[in-house]
Amino acid sequence: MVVKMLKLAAISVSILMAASSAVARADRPQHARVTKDQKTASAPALAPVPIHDISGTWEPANGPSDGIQANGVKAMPNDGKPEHQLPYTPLGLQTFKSHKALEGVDAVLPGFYNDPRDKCEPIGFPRTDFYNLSGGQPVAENVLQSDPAGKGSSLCPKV
Amino acid sequence: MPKGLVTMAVALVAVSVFSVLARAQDVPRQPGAVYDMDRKGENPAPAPKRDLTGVWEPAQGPSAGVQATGAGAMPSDGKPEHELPFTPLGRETFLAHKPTFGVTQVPSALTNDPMPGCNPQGFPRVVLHNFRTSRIVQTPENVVILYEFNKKWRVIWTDGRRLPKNPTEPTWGDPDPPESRWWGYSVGKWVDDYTFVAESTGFDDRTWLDNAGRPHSDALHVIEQYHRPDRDHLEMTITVDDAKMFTKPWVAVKLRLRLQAPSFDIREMECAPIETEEYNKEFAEPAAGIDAR
Repeated sequence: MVVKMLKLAAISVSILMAASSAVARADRPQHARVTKDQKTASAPALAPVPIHDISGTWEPANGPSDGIQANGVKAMPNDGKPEHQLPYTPLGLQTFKSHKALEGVDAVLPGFYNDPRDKCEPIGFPRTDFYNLSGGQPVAENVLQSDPAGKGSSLCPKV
Repeated sequence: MPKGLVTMAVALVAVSVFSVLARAQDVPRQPGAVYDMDRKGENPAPAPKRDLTGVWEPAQGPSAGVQATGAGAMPSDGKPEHELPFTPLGRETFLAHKPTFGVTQVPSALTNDPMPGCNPQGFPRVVLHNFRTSRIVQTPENVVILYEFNKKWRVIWTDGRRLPKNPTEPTWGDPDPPESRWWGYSVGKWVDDYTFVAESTGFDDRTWLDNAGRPHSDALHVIEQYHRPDRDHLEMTITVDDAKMFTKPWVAVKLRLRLQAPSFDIREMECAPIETEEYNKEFAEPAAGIDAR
């Protein structure tokens, strides 16, 4: 009887683990190559860190969605919470209020925004890291190119 | 008399040297760049083997990479020798394009060139329109080219993978649905110690080949050759092959590049709609007779 109960419990646990793993896979958009890398990364022993070396192809470790900061910079989103209120100067606050963003607590309706990004103006730095940090392609030495929206795909207006 | 002749000869030499220098100074330059005209009579060191790394600039000055009237080796200038081997579809598509340069040019305000609206110009147009200073980086798996023009970059894989017959092949990821790319899919290899050849396919056919509105289809296949004859030079040759648009492959550009110092800082050159808008208002619309009021 006890053995039977233990077997049943083991089967239930296995089913629950498989289900939660499947849900995690389904919920998280992934690049095909990343899936493979993540399997490797899940290996228990991590290799030592190479000294003075940040070359390589980097991806948000918790999936591509982790780099998307739709409501503003990840650490200080524009969500109305007091702890996320930025330390504006009067000019800073005035300038912020003149910006009509499509996201965040002050979002305006499409058609009323004045965000230059939506007209395909250069997103520039640091917004490329503060907005949509996706796969950073190679490189080596002192060169780092990220793959923000608009590089690999077009957000540009049609002529 | 001989003294007078000598004086005259010296004066002539001085004038010639001065005018050569003056001409050299007149050539547009990237600040801090070195061109072949600055190093006449040089004897460059031998090329390193299998190495394209560095910052490269057109060797004759930045203007040498600007191909306003179409691909440098085959400009749209009406000359019979520059007539492209169009298929009927190729000619029809070319004539549907309204470029602002070349023999079929229209005023800027009437163009249907996707680029002034800052749509991606893609590859190979980046090198067939405005090849500016570019940095090449090599890793064990790929060659990366960072282009000044529009601040774009490409990856040419050298890890042994083949061009995708179908972009869903595992080595290229698993896009859903299969996607064409503005910049194509590229692979490359060394054919000898000083010559690197890359091939690219899988292009989005909404881009133009060049500034003169030369078209391409989704069957476009581009062959790039980079030959390094010595340490300081790289010879870039781009060949276009597209059986839907052209009856045979054709060489679109041959450009000699010069290596710059490792400290050379590449300027920014980015497409910005707000600047295009200002340009149209200031120049394009008045030139086309459009009254903005």
